[in-house]
Amino acid sequence: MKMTKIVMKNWCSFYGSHELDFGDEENDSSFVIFGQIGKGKSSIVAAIEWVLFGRVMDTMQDGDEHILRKERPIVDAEQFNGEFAKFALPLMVDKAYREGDYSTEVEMYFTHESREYKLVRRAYPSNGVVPLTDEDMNIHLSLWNGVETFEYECAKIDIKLDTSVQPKINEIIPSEISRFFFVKGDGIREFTGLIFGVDNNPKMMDAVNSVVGLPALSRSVGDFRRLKVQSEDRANQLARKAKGAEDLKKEIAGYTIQLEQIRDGYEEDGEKVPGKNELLAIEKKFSGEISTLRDEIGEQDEAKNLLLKKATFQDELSRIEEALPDYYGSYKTNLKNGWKILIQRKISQSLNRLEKDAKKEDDLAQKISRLESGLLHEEERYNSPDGSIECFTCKMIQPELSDEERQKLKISVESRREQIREFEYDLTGVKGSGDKKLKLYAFNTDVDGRTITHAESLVQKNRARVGELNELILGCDEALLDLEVGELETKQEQLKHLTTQHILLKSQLEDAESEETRLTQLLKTKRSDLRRKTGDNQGDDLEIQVSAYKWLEDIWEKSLETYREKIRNSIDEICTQRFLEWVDQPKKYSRVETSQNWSLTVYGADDNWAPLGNPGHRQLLSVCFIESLRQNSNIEFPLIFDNPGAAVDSETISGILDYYLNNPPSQFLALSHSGGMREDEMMKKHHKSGRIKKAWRVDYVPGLDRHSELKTL
Amino acid sequence: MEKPDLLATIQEVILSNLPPEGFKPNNTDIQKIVQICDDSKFVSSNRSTFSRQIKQIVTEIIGRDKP
Repeated sequence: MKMTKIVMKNWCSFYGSHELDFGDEENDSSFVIFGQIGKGKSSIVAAIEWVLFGRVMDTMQDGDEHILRKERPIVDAEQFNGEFAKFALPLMVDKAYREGDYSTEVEMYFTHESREYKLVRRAYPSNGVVPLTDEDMNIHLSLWNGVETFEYECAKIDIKLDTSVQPKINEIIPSEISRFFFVKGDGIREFTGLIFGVDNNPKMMDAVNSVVGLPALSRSVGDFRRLKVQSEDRANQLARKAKGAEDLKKEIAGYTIQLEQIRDGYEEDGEKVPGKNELLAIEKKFSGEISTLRDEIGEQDEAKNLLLKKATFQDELSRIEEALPDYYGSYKTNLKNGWKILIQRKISQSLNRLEKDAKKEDDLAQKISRLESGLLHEEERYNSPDGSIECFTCKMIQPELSDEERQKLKISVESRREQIREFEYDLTGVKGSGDKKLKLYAFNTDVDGRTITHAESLVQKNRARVGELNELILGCDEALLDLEVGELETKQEQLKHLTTQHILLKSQLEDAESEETRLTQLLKTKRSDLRRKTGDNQGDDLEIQVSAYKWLEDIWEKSLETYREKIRNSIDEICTQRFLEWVDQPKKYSRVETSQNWSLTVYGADDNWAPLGNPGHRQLLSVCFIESLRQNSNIEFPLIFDNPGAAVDSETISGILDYYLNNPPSQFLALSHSGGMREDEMMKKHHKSGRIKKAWRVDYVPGLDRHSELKTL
Repeated sequence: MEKPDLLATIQEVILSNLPPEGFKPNNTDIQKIVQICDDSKFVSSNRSTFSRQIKQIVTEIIGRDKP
């Protein structure tokens, strides 16, 4: 679908009639509406939403950050008369209301699948009264498709009963799908909930499935099944009508009942035995629950990893904290003994010298002792009358001394005395060396400059690591705050229980399917036998039809899983590519991954789960998700880019706009205030190059503040 | 990476799941069926148009292969 023209009358801040003519450009084209905040840009987006779907929502956040959504009324006399200020402003321009023109209208001209369309939605007062609220308004809706016009007119409150025009619009684009093409703040908030797994809104998940085309498979699977059953019923009817062969007919009727029981279940002893269809539904429900639990546990695996990491960090921290006093002590002792380094050389020399002297002292003392012992004996023999005394070693009586021998003994005695004196003299020079050596050892140290530096660096390194570990532990704690750690075990238990039940159920389902196949085949043969016997072969085509629908059902069901997986991979790739290109700190992240329920996980540069705390990054991720869905969709609808989220910075918005202008979707309409895309810069950059086909500026009508007009640039 | 193709995915699955006897759809038939499914993907209730179109093409395929 491509818009060619929009005409608004008395719409929001646009008093009177105003139009945007997009022209009938066939190729991809981009349009921009510039205007300051509050001048009426978003009213144009509201006009597109209203003409297509008949309602415009307003959102606001309450004190608890909950999003409140409310439909904007067409008229509200209390607001127009200034009696009450309310959330959700009226859609009709207040000036027209005060002047007595109580109608508002939006026309949209567009092309869709090579066909021209004109859609008009008009609101006007019912019964010609002054409308106070929407209850006093009527709606007229008309759609011309180039060939015929469909119309519907009713009271505003009955518009949901329209079965002639709105369903035709919904076939072009349903409201819930269109939201993927309106990139604006309100919508982004809804996606943020979905992609972070906090909003398991099935409608939103269905919408995501729809935008990527999954219902083309899932809805058809059910239809093929219904067609198969219809063909079987008709084959049975034909068989019953056939004449003769009563036994065969009874058999066929019996097998048909059995087949119905296998498919739809039956009662046994007052208890319901589920049929294949019910088992299939339960099995699907279980598969979904198992897959959701796995995803959740997968997320909780992060919690497990975080807890493990935290424990490792804490272990290391306590080891270091235990060892740190020793490191400090050693460093302190080294510093205390540091002065000894200065005298160490002298101490070493002195110790060496004292070592030698101590040894010499020992030698001399031994020598003196030996000499004194010999001297004592020689003196005793010399002083005896004849020298015949007992030897002090062998205890034998020694022979008498001759004069000559006595003379020799005298010389020996004197010589020994002389030697002892000499040794005693030498001894005075080295006496006490051993004691001195021991005392000097107190000043000896093996500490040197390197030892002190090493001890110092050991202390510093470990102190730094303590700081680092405390930071890491704090990081783990912060990340763990976002995860429900306590639920992990419960979920694992649930998963175990569900998996066991699922296996049991699958086995029951397999049995039912195999019984269904057996009975179907048997029935086919019996019906064929019957037709042969009765000469009626009309049912042959029906049997082939049953097999054909069964085959289509199987093929579509198998394709659904494969296609979903392919879509998920493609979304992961595009989402990662867009996010890394647009986010302001791309080095922090490595990839984005979708889960079964379309929630997204962002991984950091280390390939671990990365917390996405920055609200701007969250909103940006939603924009990336919408873009990845759009690229995977076969739906052609204008991409309307309003302010995607207050937390996204203007530089990022500028980058996103550049991307869309350089790679335009089939039709791109950007609304820009001064943040993100300045009129002068963008016109210079993109209008001259032809990337912007047409641009308008929304401003207040001179002299009519609060009422807007459009000027083509 | 190219956008996943619904028709190509179905054709891949068909390669390992041959159609039953008496029902031999060709590529154009499969393309038509996929198109009918895709056209009706936003129609959640009253799928009579879809059923009529599918019945028509299935009858055509069966009739074409009859001796």
